[in-house]
Amino acid sequence: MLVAALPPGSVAYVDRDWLPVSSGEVPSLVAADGELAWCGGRPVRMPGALDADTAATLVLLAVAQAAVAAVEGVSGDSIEVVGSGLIALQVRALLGHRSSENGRSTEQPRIVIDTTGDPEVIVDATRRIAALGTVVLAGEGLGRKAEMNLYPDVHVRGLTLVGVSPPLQDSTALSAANTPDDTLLASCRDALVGVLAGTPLPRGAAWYRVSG
Amino acid sequence: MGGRGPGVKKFLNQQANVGLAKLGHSPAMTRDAKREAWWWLQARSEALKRRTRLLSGHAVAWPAPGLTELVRVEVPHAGDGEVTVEVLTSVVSSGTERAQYLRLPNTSVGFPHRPGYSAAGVVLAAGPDVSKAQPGDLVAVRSVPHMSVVTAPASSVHRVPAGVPVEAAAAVQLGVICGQGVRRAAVEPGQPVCVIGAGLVGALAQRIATAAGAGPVTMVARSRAKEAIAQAGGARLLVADADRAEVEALAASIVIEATGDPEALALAVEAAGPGARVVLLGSPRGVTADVPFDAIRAKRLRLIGAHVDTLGHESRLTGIDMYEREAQAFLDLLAAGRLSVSDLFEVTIDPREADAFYRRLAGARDIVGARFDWTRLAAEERIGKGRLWRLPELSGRGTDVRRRPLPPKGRRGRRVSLADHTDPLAGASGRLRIGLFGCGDIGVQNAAAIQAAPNVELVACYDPAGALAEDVARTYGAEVAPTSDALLGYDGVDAVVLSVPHHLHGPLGAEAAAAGKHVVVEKPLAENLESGAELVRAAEGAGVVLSVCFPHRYQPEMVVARRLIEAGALGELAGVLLNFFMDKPSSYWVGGFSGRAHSDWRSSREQAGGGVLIMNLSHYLDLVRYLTGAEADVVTARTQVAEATAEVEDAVSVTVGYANGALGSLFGTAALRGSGPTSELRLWGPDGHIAVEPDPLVYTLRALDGLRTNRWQTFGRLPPADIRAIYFSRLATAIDRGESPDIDATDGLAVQAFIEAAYRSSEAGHSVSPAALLQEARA
Repeated sequence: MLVAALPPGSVAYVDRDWLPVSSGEVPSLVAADGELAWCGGRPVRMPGALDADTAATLVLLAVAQAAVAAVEGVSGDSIEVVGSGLIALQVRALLGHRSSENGRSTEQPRIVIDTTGDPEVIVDATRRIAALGTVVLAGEGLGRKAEMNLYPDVHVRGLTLVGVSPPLQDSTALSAANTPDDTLLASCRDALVGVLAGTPLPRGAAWYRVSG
Repeated sequence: MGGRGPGVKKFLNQQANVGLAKLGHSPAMTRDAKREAWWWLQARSEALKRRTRLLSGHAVAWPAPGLTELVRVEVPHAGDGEVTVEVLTSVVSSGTERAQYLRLPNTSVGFPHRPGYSAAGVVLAAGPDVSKAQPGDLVAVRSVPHMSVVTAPASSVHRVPAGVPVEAAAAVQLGVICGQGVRRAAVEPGQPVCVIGAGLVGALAQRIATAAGAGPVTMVARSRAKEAIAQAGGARLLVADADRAEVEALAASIVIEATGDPEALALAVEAAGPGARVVLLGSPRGVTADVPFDAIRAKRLRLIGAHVDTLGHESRLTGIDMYEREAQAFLDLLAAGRLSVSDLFEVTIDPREADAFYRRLAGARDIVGARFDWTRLAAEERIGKGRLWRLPELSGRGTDVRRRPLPPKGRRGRRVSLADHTDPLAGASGRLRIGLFGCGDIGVQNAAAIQAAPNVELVACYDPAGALAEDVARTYGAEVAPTSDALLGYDGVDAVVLSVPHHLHGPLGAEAAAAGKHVVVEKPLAENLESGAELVRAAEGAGVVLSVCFPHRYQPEMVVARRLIEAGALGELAGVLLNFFMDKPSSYWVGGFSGRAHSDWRSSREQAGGGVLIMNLSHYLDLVRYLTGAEADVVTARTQVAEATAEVEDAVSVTVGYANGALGSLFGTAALRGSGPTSELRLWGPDGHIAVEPDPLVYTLRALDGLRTNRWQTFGRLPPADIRAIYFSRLATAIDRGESPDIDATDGLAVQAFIEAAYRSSEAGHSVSPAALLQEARA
């Protein structure tokens, strides 16, 4: 998997869960000229004190926080998190004991948080989840077509699908109030693997920094 | 055992098929018999299990895809925890039942099937442990088919509060469905709500949301057809395509998708504002090609599935009967006057006409809601005693047009006839004195009929073959006129009957008219349209009556068929099929069937005007007009001359386009080897089918006296009728009273124009309009 050439001086951040996209552009956060843009969206100016790595971490963490917030108050002993990128790691970290171990639950889950954005994974989650369950859509679809029979997969069993907004629609994700503790921040930065644009991304990392 | 069940079922099914086939059952009869046997067995099994007796009633059933019938059913009397209800009305959920009827995706209906799921009626009996309803109570019942009597679990029965109309209470299951959808939307006071779809579920959800305190409610529909429904509920209506920009600008906090269209989700998401709740209330009837996940994420929406079955899950989780709670909430809203639904059920259906309704529902999207009115059935059909030892009715009678039609039935199952058995000659008046021209085959028939008619008298007759005239005069007590002119000069003759070759109708008829005699022409009016039109002008000029003898109108089966058609048994005419077969012997062309009068005029195009079409099918051309009132707009014909001895056609094929858009196919041949005169005449429309010949049968979707819907039935015993005598007698009465005869010159001309158009079409190779020819001839 390659990330195409970037404008000079820009840096792209890619979550591991965004990689399975078979063709087209790999979703990414792009930092350039003191601004951060989500997948070609409207750029948001980074606070001066933040470096690009930290800003990207905060943005991805904001997605994870929104995903967890979406299931607050929803009953469910164990929450299944589907994904292995940075967002998924952060969701699991934020959920703590509510997150089921080792990916898929052995029992029928009542809540699934998807961070892959892969329609097939989402459909699979709706079929495995218990009636009246909740599926949180915290992945990045990037326009992938999602064919689905909503009657058996959502309607009859009364499921709820909750959309988690990509960050950077406003700058709240980058606000000081949203800054996590240093330990979490450090663990996120430790998981970051840097590569040059045009070179293959090594498998196994939670997320990548691609330099132009 | 698990694997053996289906095998045993298949074996029993095969044995049933074989056994019923041996009894002469067609596949349709077999299907009917198996359904009856299965339901018979089920009813007894249920009654024995409960140790209760059986009740009989009627139910709407779908025996096979596309078919609906009202069938007799049996239900067990209420046992423990049950209530038996005499149903007054049951409501149709148009969207769901349409989807099931059409077998749309995500519907799982097996056949036979009893549709329906919500009703209201009066409690007949309650099980010993039931306290929530007592005999005489008006109750709403959930999850029951469209039936005149039901036994349901007490948990599905809800007492109707005082003041709530029965048709509103009957919508209880719909109220539960929509109520749970609105509840899951968690509407907060003043919140703007958008409902996608203005059908029954959409309208009801909108009204319940408004009653729950929603702010402005907007409904989005395909068209403005249901705007009045929206306005009545206090909502405004936008059209999905025309008002797209407004829909997108709604930014509603709550969106309720109520169409069931799998692609409507995209519209619902467009109408939703950031953080909105989008409730999937309508059952998606198919796969959504592109679920807008990106938009759901971007707007941080909550997409909530709200099928009524989720109430079962909620009940298990909470320990509360959520169905009961929703039903009670719905009835309370009705009782408090905060919800009105009566106007949503705009169509009231006679259960006997269920088939017609579902066919309409399949094609129409204009029906918001409908309800069956079970009080339209006779009391004994609604509720009766079921007998445990009654044998199942496995005859399959009436299901197949070719085998074992049912007789028509009157009240309490008595066999009746559809025919009027009063004397058709009663009330005859006047005395019409007849001079008969032509004493061949038809002349003799007419003389006999005149004698049989109480108010008609044969005075004199004439035939160039004097022996034939003397024979008729001797047999029927008339004088023989020595010449044609002499017959016309008889003072005692009021009318002449022309039983002569076709080409003589015009000139002889004109002479008779000039002599002041009324003119009766054996069919057809003349050998061609021009001659016929001249004869009509002559009669009009002389001020005499001109009538064409089409006596088949008086066959009892034709009289019944016409009455049924007038009563709506077919709906608007859609098609006519006539097949006429015979094998005319070679001697026919030189002496007719009997050889009584030696003449070859029948084989001459100039004298007869044509062959099987003008000679034989002309009766049917008149009959179709008489039965249906339909006039041919355009005809396309081909004729064939096969017999070397004749100039005229002995086979004809005509395709007819009628003025109302109906189609007709007429085929006749007089050279079909081995065939005696046989005919098939069928007429049909969207609501029924009448096979008048060879054996009169009717199949109708309309509730008409004496007939069951959706069954082939005979006309019952038909009285004998001397149709020519009736013709002459009624003609004489009409003349006596100064009224128009049943069959006048207009009728004769219309048939003649059809015949002319068919012959011209065959010669020219293109379609011809009888009306245009008639206009030309009358000019």
